[in-house]
Amino acid sequence: MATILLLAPLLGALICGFGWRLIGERAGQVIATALVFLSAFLSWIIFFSHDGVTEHVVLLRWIESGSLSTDWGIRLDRLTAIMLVVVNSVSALVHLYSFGYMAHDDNWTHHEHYKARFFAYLSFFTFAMLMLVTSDNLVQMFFGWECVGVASYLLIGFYYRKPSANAAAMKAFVVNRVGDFGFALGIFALFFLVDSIRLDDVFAAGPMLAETNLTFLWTEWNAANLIGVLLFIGAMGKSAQLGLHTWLPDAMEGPTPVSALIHAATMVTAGVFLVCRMSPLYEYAPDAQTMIVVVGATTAFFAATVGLVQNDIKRVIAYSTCSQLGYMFVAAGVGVYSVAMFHLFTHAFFKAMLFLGAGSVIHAMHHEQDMRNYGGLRHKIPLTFAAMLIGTLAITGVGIPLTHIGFAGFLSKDAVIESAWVGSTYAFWMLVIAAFMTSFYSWRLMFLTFFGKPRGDHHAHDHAHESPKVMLIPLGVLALGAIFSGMVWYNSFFGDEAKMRSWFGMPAAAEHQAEAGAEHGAEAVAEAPDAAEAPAVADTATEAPTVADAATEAPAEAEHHAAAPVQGALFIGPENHVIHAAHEAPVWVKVSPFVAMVLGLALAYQFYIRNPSLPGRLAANQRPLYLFFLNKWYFDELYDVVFVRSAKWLGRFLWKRGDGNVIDGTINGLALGFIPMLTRLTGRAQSGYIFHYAFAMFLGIAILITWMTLSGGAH
Amino acid sequence: MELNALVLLPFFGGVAALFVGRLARDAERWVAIAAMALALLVLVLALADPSQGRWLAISRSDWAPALGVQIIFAMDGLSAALLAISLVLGIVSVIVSWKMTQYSGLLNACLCWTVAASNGVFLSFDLLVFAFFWELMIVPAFLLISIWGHGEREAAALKFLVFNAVAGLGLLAAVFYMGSLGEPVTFDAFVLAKVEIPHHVQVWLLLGFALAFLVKLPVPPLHAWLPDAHTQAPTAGSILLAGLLLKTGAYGLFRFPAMLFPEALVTLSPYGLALGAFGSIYGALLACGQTDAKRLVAYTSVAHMSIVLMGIAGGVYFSMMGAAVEMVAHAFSASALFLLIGALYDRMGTRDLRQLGGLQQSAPRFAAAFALFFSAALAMPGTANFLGEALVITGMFQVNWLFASITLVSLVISVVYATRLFKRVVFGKTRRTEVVMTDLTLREMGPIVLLAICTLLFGMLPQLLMGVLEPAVGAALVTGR
Repeated sequence: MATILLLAPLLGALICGFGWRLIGERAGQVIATALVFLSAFLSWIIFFSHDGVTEHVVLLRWIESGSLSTDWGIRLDRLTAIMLVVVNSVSALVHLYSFGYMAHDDNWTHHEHYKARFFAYLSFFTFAMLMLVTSDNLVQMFFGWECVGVASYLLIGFYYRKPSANAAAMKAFVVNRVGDFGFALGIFALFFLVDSIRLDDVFAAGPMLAETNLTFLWTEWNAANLIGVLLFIGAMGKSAQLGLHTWLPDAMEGPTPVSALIHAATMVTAGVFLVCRMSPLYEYAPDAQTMIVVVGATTAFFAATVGLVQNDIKRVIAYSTCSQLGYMFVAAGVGVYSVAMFHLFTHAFFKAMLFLGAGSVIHAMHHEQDMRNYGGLRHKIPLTFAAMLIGTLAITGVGIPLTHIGFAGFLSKDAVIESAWVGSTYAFWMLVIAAFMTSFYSWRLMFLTFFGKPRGDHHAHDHAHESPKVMLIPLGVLALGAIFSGMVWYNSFFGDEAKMRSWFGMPAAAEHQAEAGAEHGAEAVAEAPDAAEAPAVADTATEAPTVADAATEAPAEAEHHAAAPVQGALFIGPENHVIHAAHEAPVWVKVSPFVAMVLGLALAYQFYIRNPSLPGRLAANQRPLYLFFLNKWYFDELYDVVFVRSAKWLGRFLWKRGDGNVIDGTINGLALGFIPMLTRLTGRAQSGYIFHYAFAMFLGIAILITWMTLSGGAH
Repeated sequence: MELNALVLLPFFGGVAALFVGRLARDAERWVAIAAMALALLVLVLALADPSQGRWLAISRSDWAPALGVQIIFAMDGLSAALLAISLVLGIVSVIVSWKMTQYSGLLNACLCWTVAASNGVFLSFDLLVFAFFWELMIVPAFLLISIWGHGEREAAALKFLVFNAVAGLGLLAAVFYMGSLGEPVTFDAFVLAKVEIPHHVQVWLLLGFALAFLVKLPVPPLHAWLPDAHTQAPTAGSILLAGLLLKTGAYGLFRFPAMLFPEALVTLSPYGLALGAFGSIYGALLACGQTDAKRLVAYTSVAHMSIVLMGIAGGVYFSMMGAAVEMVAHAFSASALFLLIGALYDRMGTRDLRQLGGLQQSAPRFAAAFALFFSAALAMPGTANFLGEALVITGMFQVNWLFASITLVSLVISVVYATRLFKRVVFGKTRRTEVVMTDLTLREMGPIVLLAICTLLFGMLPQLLMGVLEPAVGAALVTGR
């Protein structure tokens, strides 16, 4: 079943991409969509029937070289099941939505075909994403990781005649590759130390890595921390975290369904998925975790500040995505991976819906994206308004405080913030402030778009119309997710620790250990089948120093550790009681995000409904700050000067000066000056025809060989 | 005997192609294709022969026994893979130059002779014969550039000739010296491998060999001939240059230093690593600065072949295997890119990136193929190129972290030039409206599909390739360290 699920979108992409000329464009689209729906259906079956025990399905042998052994395989555990549902559901709905959204497009003339290509790319992306999330080893994950990058490149650049789309696609690819540089280094380092890239072996080697030091860039590093940081750099690239975030807002140049699928719900969450997937490693890498928390919290804050002042409806949502990804990283960084996945899960629904809703607005307004030209649209497009309202309620986290009743974002975001309170004070305050700003910019978007008087082009407003059913149905389905997904799965992800552990297939013993607190070590060692050989289950680096020290001497001994695989989809170290402590957070912590949300709503109401002239005056008063936010903290300008221009200059300089003058000049001067002179002197055979040179040379070789042959015979 | 046929068939095919032109239309092309297809068949039959051990076939015949010159042809997995590539690319090059009518007999003869000579290089284990084929290879390639080239073809051809002939002298001198070491005089590499040579002599001999190989590879700063030669050569010439001639340099480096000068190799390989690391960054950066599509691809060859050099100089199992795989992978991807750019030039009359654009709509097949091979050039997982480069880097980690990181940086830069190329050619607005870009024809699609299948097949199921290469890689290690 998992195999069919994995390959169906690929089949769809191939049929639609190469076969549409035979079967027709429409049929190609229908087949691709149907196959993704099949995948989505199977995903939900797996999601509900999965019992938490990790399954492995080997499809084919891949690389077999020395000690490097890799399969094309599927790893099916709770983490995979969650991602399957997210990816396939959103993808299926986006396919459906695209029937409406892409039906007419001003970027193409009537006789040009573009729809089949679009659907093929979407399906190909889905396949690549599935390869990423189902991977059983790091190389296959890297395969998926790079392929989603290509798909994203092709889709951002889908309107390839627009120079801005073109540049955005290139930027996304290049910035991602910079992140991949870290990811690849991390994979290589892992292989170097563990001698395997299978996830099971890597997981088992966590304690060993924590005890290993290695030298890199002339400095001693702790192996677990170094690898953790390198992998996180990869995650930063894909998930648009501060420093490598610049591509995400520009990626909005792609068609809106693409933004919903790739740049909101699935691909950008791959980084979070990676960190959660590698939890058995990060539990031993405290410094890397600290970095994740700081970067995540700072990104959440930074992106929210920029989101406050953007005018393009899609860019507001893009910065909001960037910010929400920061929330997820904070949760993963403090060691509550299940909550990171929870927010990823709920966020996929409401953010995809916000994007598709925005797409519906843009569709209604004839591809106008500037919110300053919207206003009063709730009467024109009531269903879209309802959907966007639900999405906004979900993202801002509306619910009843101190209960578990509320929209999806209420439950997951509060879980993140409570976890952050336990793990890091800095992150906690950053996230609360970001929650306030989230509420403000989300309601600003709503008020500017749907309330007030119509602004801008009258013609566009007069012809604004509700979108067709194929676009509204996906919105409705996602609305269900945005309302209920938090409440239904709250206990599985966060609320009930015992349930969460069994749901993720983690051993109950470890749970017992975590609750027992101080007495952890002895039991774990007793449980290990062969305690001397396999300290991995003991997973207390402090308890088994001798064995781990021995491992430091010889990294190749990692095979011994492989004897005791980490059970379950996630791993929570015995010292990690964050989730327990988060449940016991004081009441003021638990209500703080709600208060922040209400304040944000109130301020937005004040600014955009009661007194619409206020924002302009504030922007004029605080001009430097306003410009700083509007220009996204000047990251693009900085990078342009530091990297882009200098690289271009270097390339050209090397070509003209280095290659042209120095190398060419020297060697040519020697060669072209010297050799013709020689020929002139010796044979006066310079006839001007290149052919003659060649002939002379050929003749020379022939004479040489003849002479050798003859003299050999005469001997 | 079948090994001799691998050289002689293309050679006589070429001779025949010279004369059959007037018998029937396109006869010279069919003769050339038939000769190489026949040789390919011979190769397949030789491979099907279930022989154990590393050598799939060996043949010896005397040539000048008093001088110790024999024709020793031996084929292991690496030679077999490169021979197959050579014959396939030979056929491809005949197909892509189908429409070239000027001196078409000589043209097809030159294509055949290039293949014949490089087959000789891939097979010879008598050093003098090896050097003979090494020099011979230059002649038809030189003619290809100087007669059928574009633009300043004569200067480019002369540059190609001078660089390679001068560098070949280093090889020739070293080979003659090697011959005198045997007792009696011999050029048999298998015998010479057992001769004890003092360390400092080894170093000099290795430098002589390496000069020839590094120029052919080519690695900066010895690469200056390549961008010009590639840019001015006709499409078929570029395909053979990138797919074959560069590989002979890599093959030589892979095969002989480890076999003949193991101690000197240990001394010199750090320099090889440094040179390769420099070249991989330098080539990639220069590729970013180009405006001529063909020159851009030529510089990517410099970068990728520098990575091959690093793999060979690294000398550990993974890096050597990676180098071998990358040789094969690059032969497919680079020749395909040259083929595509040739097709583009035929239609648009320019390769200037500033004048191209918007081919997605008018030539979707072209765009798809371009996307695939530009993915291969930036080592996208799933292509054989990824496997080669990933294995080299894996090996580098065992040798030196710094060099591994540098190679990865060159892969980051590769995205810049690849996306830039794609953006300027396939995306964007159509800048030239007076000429219409028609899509690839069936004759062009054939080779492209073949090369695409090879790239993806060996990327997805690399065991097919690595199993064949394994013994050769193992041998280069055992004798080397």
